Amino acid sequence: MGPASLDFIGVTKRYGTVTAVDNVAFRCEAGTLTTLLGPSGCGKTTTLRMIAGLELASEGKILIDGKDVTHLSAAERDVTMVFQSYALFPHMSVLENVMYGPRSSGIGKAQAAEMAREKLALLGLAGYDARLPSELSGGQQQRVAVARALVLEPSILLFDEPLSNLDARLRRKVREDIRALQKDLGLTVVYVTHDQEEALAVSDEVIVMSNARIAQMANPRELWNAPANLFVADFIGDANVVDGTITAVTGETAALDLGGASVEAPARGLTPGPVKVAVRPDALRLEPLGEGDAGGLTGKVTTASYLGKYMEYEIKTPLGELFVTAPADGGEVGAGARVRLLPKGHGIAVIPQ
Amino acid sequence: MPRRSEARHRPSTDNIAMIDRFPVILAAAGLIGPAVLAYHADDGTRLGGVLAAGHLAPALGCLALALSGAASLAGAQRAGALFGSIGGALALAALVVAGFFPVLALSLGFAASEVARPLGPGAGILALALIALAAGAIARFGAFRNDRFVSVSVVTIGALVVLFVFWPVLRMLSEAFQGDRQADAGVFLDRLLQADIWALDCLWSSARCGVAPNTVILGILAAFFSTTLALGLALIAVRTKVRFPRAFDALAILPIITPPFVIGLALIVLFGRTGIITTFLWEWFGIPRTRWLYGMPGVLLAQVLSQVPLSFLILVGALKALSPTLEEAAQTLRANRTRILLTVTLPLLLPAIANTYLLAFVESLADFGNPLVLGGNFEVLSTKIFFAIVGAQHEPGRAAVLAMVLLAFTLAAFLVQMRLLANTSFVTVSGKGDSGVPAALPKGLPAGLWGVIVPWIGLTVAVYTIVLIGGFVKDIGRLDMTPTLDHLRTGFLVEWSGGGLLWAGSAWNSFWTTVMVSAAAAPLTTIIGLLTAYVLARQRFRGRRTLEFLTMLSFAIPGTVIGVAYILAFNVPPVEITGTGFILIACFVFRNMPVGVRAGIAALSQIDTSLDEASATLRARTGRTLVAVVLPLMKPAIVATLVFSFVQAMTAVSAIIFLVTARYNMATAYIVGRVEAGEYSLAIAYCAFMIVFMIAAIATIRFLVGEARLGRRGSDSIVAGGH
Repeated sequence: MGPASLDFIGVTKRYGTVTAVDNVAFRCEAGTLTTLLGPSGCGKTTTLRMIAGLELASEGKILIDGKDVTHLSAAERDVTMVFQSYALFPHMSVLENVMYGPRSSGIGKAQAAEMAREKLALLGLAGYDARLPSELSGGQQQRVAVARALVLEPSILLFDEPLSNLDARLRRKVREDIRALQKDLGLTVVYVTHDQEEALAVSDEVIVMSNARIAQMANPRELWNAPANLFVADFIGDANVVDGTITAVTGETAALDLGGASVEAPARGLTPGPVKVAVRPDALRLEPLGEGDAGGLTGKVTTASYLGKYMEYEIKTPLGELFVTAPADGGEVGAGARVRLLPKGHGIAVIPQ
Repeated sequence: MPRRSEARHRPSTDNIAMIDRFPVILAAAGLIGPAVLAYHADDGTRLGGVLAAGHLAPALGCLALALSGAASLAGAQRAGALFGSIGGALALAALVVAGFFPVLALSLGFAASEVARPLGPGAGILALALIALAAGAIARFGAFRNDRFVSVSVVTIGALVVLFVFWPVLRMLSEAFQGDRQADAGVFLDRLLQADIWALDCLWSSARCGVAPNTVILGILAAFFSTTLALGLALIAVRTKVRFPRAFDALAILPIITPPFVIGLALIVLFGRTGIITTFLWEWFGIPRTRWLYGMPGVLLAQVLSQVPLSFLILVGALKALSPTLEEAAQTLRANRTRILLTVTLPLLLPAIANTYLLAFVESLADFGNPLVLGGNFEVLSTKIFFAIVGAQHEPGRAAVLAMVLLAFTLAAFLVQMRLLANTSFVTVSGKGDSGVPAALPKGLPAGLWGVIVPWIGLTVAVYTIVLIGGFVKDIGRLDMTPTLDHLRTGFLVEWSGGGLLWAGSAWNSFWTTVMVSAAAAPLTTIIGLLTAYVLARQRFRGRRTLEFLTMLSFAIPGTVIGVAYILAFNVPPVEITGTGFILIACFVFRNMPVGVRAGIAALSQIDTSLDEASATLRARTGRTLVAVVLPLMKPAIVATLVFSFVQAMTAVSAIIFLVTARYNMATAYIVGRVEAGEYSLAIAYCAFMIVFMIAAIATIRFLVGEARLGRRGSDSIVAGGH
């Protein structure tokens, strides 16, 4: 079985009166990496577990490769999973762990061992056969978990927050390794994370979830530049959501008035009038303001924090409190300073409601 | 590639061509079993006979098994499941009606020779096969989330628990209402409101109280003294620099492997009218010999002595779990040692203390051995129940009423305990950095505690010394300390005669029965207990709470009550098993099963569910997950349950004293007989022999099951949770 596509058709999962996943529909193409992204409790893990068959959907259909698997148990689905805790069997050696899937499928011992060794070698774990999981480092444990999930060459491979138990330095490398592996083997991968940077970095498609529903499904670039709603704008990249006005629309471009500052942004089908606008923290440039100097968008710095690579400011403006970052290149201003905020020409998007 | 792995690639609708072996195996077992073994226990009729006689239940059962098996062989899965579920359920219903509802059965046209007959092992196998068949079939229709393993486990366990726990208790309740001719509330009230049950005269006069107040007063006192002593010991052990010697650990374990009345026996040897200490006091100080020991004081002393070690273990655990930072915080807030003890330490310990107290109370209520040996004229419910059954006038109805009273007290105590534990659980071990130095005890307290503890330890040591040496001297009761092996020889003589071993000793018969029954009961208890724990802890299904309640019910029932319930329920058809070894095994299995369930649930809570889930995503069905992943990680719980159920079966007395027969006599019943006959030395020798044997058996169990192989225990892979 090669990589397969995945379809969710109106899937709902209820626990008693609580709806964990509410009428969710999406499609993952074969050979792509799709991320489920969202804050904790948004239903992303439940969605993943429904793909695996660890939870059965209360309503709706789940198709793998076009075939209905809604009522199949985990053992009957051609889906494997890398668990957040890795879930390596602590009483089995590395080899026994990886052999477990083939052995459960009724494959003979010798062949299962051969399949396991091949995958362990692929993940750079040749020679670790006899170790117990407790004798491996966190990164090695994770690679064993990946090898164990890969050995059955599943239609779909699932990752549940695979980086959360690794230290910060390892995360970037492992994330790149997973993406490279997915691309090399052409796997269909569904990946759960709550870290938006991680999601943007590894995904073909990102599904942002909020309150048991899909807030937006898009590729990373689109997600950043054109958030579908307030939640996505706020959740991805800490955007400031402010009230603005579309003064004119020319073709695809809208002219915006943001508390006195003028800026252009893609119109996204909106017409002139009041609008919610997402302003990325790095979309504004700061300029010290002299006495009597007025016009444009101005404000007063309430806090200024030095973070090494850049500065973080909280600025009180007529639009409300804005969160702004600026390079720490010598032009910093201090708390209490009055500043003018100038749009840089990117990082500002209108939000269709 | 084998068939199974191919089948998984196909959607469920078209695996019709696949043969399902499960119904076929069941059909074979369910048909061969009664064909070879007796279907009716009384005349030994087998399957052929009952079918020829036109009996409805076996005919339906055979039909369901055969059709379902044949349909599966032919690859018709849906038809097989349909025959299995409907046919199996119908056949089981017929079995139940024929066995338990004779009037209804006759009016429904059952043959008279089928109704209310004792069923044999063949019928048991047929019934089990039908239960498994029906349970497996309903899983095909979506019950238990399509999981046949879970379905079969839950339904089978549920059926067994209903038959061996719920039904006997129900039968006992109905017996309480049963008059000479008919059931009647008046009969019940008349039996319940007897003065010898409820009289409170002892509170203000020298007249005697009823058994119910006696039992409760004894329980309250035993719980108070044992908890207080254990708390003092625990404070000394954990909070002072004194390190108890290793021997003290053994002293704490010994009571668990000691038959319950041994302490009473040793107390008689020490403090009885002709006891060692009594004699010493009389000869040296002229303190007259009295019979003070026989009655409330003696029973109380024996119960406290046997309860303190267990209470001590619980309280030490709780004290060690207290976070020292809380006491450090109190210190920084200028509390002195006494204030810390009274306002922080003890209040935090309160749930554990209350738990210990209630446990001791329940143990005292259930205790049968010590009141029997030491009670004299002081009667408690458990002994009264016993004499109502075995006494001169056989009064099962009266015994049932008394048993209900005892059951009500016990259940009330359990309810209070559950309430307390649910509302006031102070989780003081957070897993975060919890280092610190606990506050020292108030000055003078340790000295005071030592003043109480040293005599107590002395007494315990004396009691066990009696047990260990008493069997090897001529007559310890009369201080004749000439070493001898006579008593051991009387009981355990083995002769070499005519090329074979001759078990000539008088105790061998009961000893081997006990070992055999215990050895059969322990693994069964472990399997059923841990399987129940697994489905309760890891599976979601309707009726989970009911199953949990039923399994816990038998834990709350005192042994005497179970004994009465068993003879009432199993002395009559259809399950007429009194007088067999099977009733002893069933009694132990379902009495000790809740401990296996508790141990299993505790062990499972330490094993991350993502391990089960990982196994499921790797194509392992529930059965394989259990065997390959879960059980190996539960080895400590397996050992604990095996050891506990074995030891309990070896040493239990209260329930089985009703169930033993001349043929199936148990060690404890035999020893009680020797005590009643005044043969203390032989009884003590037997106890010592059993203690040594159990220590060896425990070591063997540990060796056979082995340790869980995990490398670093509690590494991330076990402890870390998914979400």
